[in-house]
Formats: sequence, structure tokens, C-alpha cells
Amino acid sequence: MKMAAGHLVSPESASELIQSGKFFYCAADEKIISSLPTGNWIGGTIPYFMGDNGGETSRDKVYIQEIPISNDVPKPSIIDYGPAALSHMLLDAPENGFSIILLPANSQVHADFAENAPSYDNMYMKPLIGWVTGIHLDDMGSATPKVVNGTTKKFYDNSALVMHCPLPDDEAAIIDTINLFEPDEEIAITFNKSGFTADDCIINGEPHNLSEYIKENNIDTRLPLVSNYCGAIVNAAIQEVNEGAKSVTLYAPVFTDVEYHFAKKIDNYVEAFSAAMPDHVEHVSFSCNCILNYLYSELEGKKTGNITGPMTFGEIAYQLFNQTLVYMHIEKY
Amino acid sequence: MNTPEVIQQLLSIQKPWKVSRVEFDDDNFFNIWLGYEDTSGLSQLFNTKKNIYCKHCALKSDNQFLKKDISWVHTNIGDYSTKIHASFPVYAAPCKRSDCSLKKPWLGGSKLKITYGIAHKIVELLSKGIPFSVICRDFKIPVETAWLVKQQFDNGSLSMRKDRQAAKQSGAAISDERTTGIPDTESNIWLQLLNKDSQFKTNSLNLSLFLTKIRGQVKNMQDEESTRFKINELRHFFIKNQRTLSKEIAQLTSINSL
Repeated sequence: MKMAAGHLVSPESASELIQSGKFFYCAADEKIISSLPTGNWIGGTIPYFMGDNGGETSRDKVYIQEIPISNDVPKPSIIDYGPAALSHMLLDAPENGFSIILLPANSQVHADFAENAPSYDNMYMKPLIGWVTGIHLDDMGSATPKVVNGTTKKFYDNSALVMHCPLPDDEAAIIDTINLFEPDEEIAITFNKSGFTADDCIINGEPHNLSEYIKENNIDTRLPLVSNYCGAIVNAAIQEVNEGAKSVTLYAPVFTDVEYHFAKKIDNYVEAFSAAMPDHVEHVSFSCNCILNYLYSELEGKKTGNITGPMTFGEIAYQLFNQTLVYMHIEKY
Repeated sequence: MNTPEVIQQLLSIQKPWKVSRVEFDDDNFFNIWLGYEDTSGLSQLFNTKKNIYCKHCALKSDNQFLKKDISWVHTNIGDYSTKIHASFPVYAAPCKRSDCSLKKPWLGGSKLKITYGIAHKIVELLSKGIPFSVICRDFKIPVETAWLVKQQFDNGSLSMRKDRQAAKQSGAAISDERTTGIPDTESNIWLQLLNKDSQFKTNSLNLSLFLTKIRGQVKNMQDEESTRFKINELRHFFIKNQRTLSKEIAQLTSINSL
């Protein structure tokens, strides 16, 4: 993988790029993203990034990525979707192209997408990539994650913003993930009910309470629950173990018809990441990684290859992922 | 034969149901009013104080029809969109069982605003890859309604048991497209792919996620015809993504020839 998706720049540089009239997506702290001029862009709030010089927390910079467009196809369209319209968003997506989605964390649209995206119309048929916007962890309780439509500068805290981008017939968008976590197959977990909160479950055929099991077995909660979706490893990161309520709160829902495992420990994230980088991808058109990878693997100042992008509150590669790097590249046929 | 009797014959509506009235309205809908005439005394037998039983299969009904007057959009008659307005006692309503044969094409459910006939047509068209927007425009129904049909089919509560021929036909229609190297719907490879123990492997993220979803849905389906529709959907996925799935398509051919 040779070229980065976008760059972490000053608001002035981002403004100049936006004024070129091209299409972009942006990520920055709310105050900075509010200062950007109107233009063909969508944005989300976050102050954590993987920049050209490595992991960085910044309330002053903007991550900006140009969207690849062609003169041979219609220009991208930017549409906001509230909770009622979200499940039909891919009806507006081009037959050949891709859609970039931004969702504000902890909103109704975030929860709906997390739980129901697999059953959305046209899901997996049309490429969908994006991320869940967030805030600085110091601002918890005083700020809310938002998305912004750059054409109007309107901010939303309970709508998804989607940029639908057509591609010429001889190109196709390929979406993939780099997930370093592997399942520990010795422990198999299934849940009695789906959702962001897990309690009663079956572990290796025996009924258990997940919270108690984690405590009794001293499980490292920085490691996610992982499941194997026909070869694709999908994580549900652990947010909190509530000993009083005997429940576990997750950053992504677990589902009743899926078998989960605890993830194996990763000794050195940066080294493992470099080894996992695909060598056949020339140019990344979109990428983002998880805030939990940033925090738990102490990525501040460290580089993950040439991959750049926001460090997010959830990654979207068709459906919601946790603790995973998602990326997209365009292939020519 | 008067007009209601002609319509009754055209739609194959049999006693105790009958067409009581027909009328065009200002929205270009052809409206059909359907009545129910019980002369058998079954209402006493099936409608006890506590429980309501399905008149056809005699199993306990979930009492989903709390009202007896209900309207559904039905398949077009000629160039006219059609609405059926049914008026019948609660005990005569179709029960929730997916294979209850009271689910005549010209009847609908309590949650669907369309008849089972049009619901089956929607599933058939979707499995051929016809977009929601086109289907909704042609049948004059909101996207939410078509979406609900898709969800009911995917979770197994809407059966395609009556549509064996349609299932085969939809597969045949896709066979006519440019599908180099993709086995047709009759091939056993698709059933193998729906089995979680299949030796098929892929590095394609969207195929991995789609296959997981469709395997889960097929697990809940009770009849071969519904599975056949899912096979069409899976094959359509390969057709839509054939440029990016060349390795997987080659693998299908190689497994198929074993």
C-alpha cells in the first residue's frame, strides 16, 4: 500500500482545498470544522487522527480527503438521512460507485445502523464505507458528536450524512478491513438476546453470565469479542463491565445467531499491523481506524504504515465494525 | 354475469368469499369490495370465548385481525392499480402460519397493506434484481411497504410455497443475462454455498458478510421455494459483483465439477 488517503492539515489549507470546488470529506474538532467554508464536503467531529507523521490528537487541524470523481459520470450527491429514512439510503446510491457515510456516535441513527444495517435494502450490493463521529474524551458530558453537510454548514446530531459517488463503468470500489484480532477458538459464546448489552449467555455449552465470567477468568476487556462471518472477523468491543448490574456494555451489538469468541492478545500492534498490510493496493481512497486501537495500542506518535485517517468511535465497512481499520480503493477493469 | 361476478371469476375468489362491489376512484385505483358469507355455522365452532382458531388449519390463531375491515393494494388489473377492501369476521382471517393456505393471493395480512399476491410478486422481482424504486413506482406502493415484505420474507414469516413456478421462472430470467462462468440456479453449488460447512473460501468482505446473512435467513425458512428465491438472490449477488469476484466464480466452477 503506497499512497495515503488524505492528509492532516491546517484549517487554512483545508479551506483552500474546499474552495477549489472539488469534493471532500473532512474530520476535525467541532470548533475547527465549523470554521471551514461552505463547499462540496461532508464532515464529522473527532480530534484523533493518524496523520502523515503518526498518531496525533489535535483540536487545531483538519483531516481532509479528496473524493475521486470522474467527468464521465454524474457528480456526487450529499443527502442527510434521519432515523426513519436510514434503512433506504442505498436506494439513492449509484449502481456503480460507492457511498461514504458519517454517523454521530450515541445517536438513534448510530444504534439503528449498528443493529439493523445487515438487513438494509441493497446492503452488501453497493459499496458503503464510513465512520462514527466522536468527541475529545475530555469533553464527555459537555459536547455531542456531530456530522456536518458542507454545502449548507448544517450540523446534525441524529442524522447520517451520506455522499453517494458514482464511478465510471470500468472502475469498481473495493472495501476491506485490517483486523488484527483473531478468535480464541477454545471459548465459544452465544447470546440469548441481541443488543449492545450482554448478560446471560452460553459459554462452551454451559449457561453463564458474561460479566461474572469475565471477572472470574480475569479476561482483558481491551480485547474485543470476535466472530467469524465466513472468513471476515467482526469485533464487538467491550465498553464497560457492570458488576452491579451483572451486564457488559458493548460498542457494537451482539446477535443471537452468531458465535463469539474472546480475541487473542496482540503483542505489538504496530508490528502486527505492518505485517498485515496488503501489498497489492496502490492508492487508498478512504481509510479510518478505531479510537480504541489508538488508545490501547498507544499509537500517538506511531505510524501504521502509510495509512492515514480519523481515529473513530466506530468504523463502517458495509456494517459497523469496532477496533478495526477499514479502507477502500478503486480498481480499474 | 354482472361486473362483481366477472371480477370474482377473474381473481378465482370462491365461496364463502364474494365480491360485493367494484368501483373506480379519482386516484385511478380500481376498488374491489370483498365480503364473507358464512352459512356453515363454523363461527360457533371456531370462535370460542377465549381462543380464535384459523378456519382453515384449525390451529390457534394469534388474533392478529382485531378489526374485520381492511384494505390492501393488489396486483394491477390491466393498466389499473387495484385495491381490495375486505370485510369478514375475525375467525375467518388467515392465521400467522406461513404455510396457511387461507393466504390466497387476493388476501393480505394485518400488517401488510398489500395482498399476498403482490407480496410474492415483489419478492420475485427483487430476486431478479429489480430495484425497489421501480417496483414501488409500478405498484404505486410506498418503499416502506415493499421493505416490510422483504423483511417478512427474509425472516421466514412470508412463505413462497405457492410460487414454485415463479421461483423457477425468476431463476430462468437471470440465466438469460451475461453470466459467464456463474452456474445457473439449478446447480447444486448454491445449496453447498448456503451450508456453513462448505469448502468455499473468499477474501471478499462484501461476499463474506452477504453469505453470513443469507445463510442465517435460509436457516429460518421452512420450504424449498423460499430457499430457491434466496439462491436467486445469492446468484444475483455474484452477477452484480462478477468483476470483483473472478477468483470466487472460478472456485464455484471448480467445486461444481467435483
